[in-house]
Amino acid sequence: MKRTLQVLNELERDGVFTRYAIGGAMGATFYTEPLLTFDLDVFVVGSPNCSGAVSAPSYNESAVTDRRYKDALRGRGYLKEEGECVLIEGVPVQFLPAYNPLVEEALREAQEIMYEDVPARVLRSEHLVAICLQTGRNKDRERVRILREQAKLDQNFLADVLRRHQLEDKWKLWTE
Amino acid sequence: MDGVSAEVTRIFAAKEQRRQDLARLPFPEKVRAVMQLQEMAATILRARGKAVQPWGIAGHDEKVGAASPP
Repeated sequence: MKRTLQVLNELERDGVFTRYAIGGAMGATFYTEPLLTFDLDVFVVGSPNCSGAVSAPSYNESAVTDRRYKDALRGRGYLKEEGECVLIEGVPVQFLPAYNPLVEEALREAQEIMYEDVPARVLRSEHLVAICLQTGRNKDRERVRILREQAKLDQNFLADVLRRHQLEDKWKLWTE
Repeated sequence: MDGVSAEVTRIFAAKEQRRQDLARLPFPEKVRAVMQLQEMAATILRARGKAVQPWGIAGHDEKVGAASPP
């Protein structure tokens, strides 16, 4: 995992993408008890240096963007893929280009962490909740429950995120 | 809790406390715990015909012709 994060930092430094942050189950695990997952969801904002790409990719660009990350990793010798993931130092990494305004905001406001001596970024717990609400699968509902129980959610910040992204009704439906 | 003995209630409370304690672990320790969970789950999932691979297994990712990092 440490080496995987180092590679992500190298990709960011080399301009393959401009910013990344860990989300999904591993992002949630930063705030909660360990949650079983077999991949590492990494949200990314694309590089302005790449032709056709802007800092926040349009929502149908994801396949092109995904290919760009995979090409960059191939150049570094990471050739093996598992489904939608690329194996980086033994960890299947799923790159998720920022696909809507909520995810773009979550990436902008992700928190800096240290993993041992390696810097990394994790989405805020409130944004993880909002993304789960928006995604809406059964496992997202379960994740919201665990985050509510174990993460120290900033209720004012969360309320603001839910209001701005029209997720208040879903929150009420899932929590009342 | 209705129909649950005091002893079982105590056990449930202890389990909940354990989960809260786990949530407070440093992130690298939690990642190690996730990898242990993967090992445990992989055995069961493979028996059910689902191919999963725990992280960090030697030779799991073969980095071929690496351009830069060690």
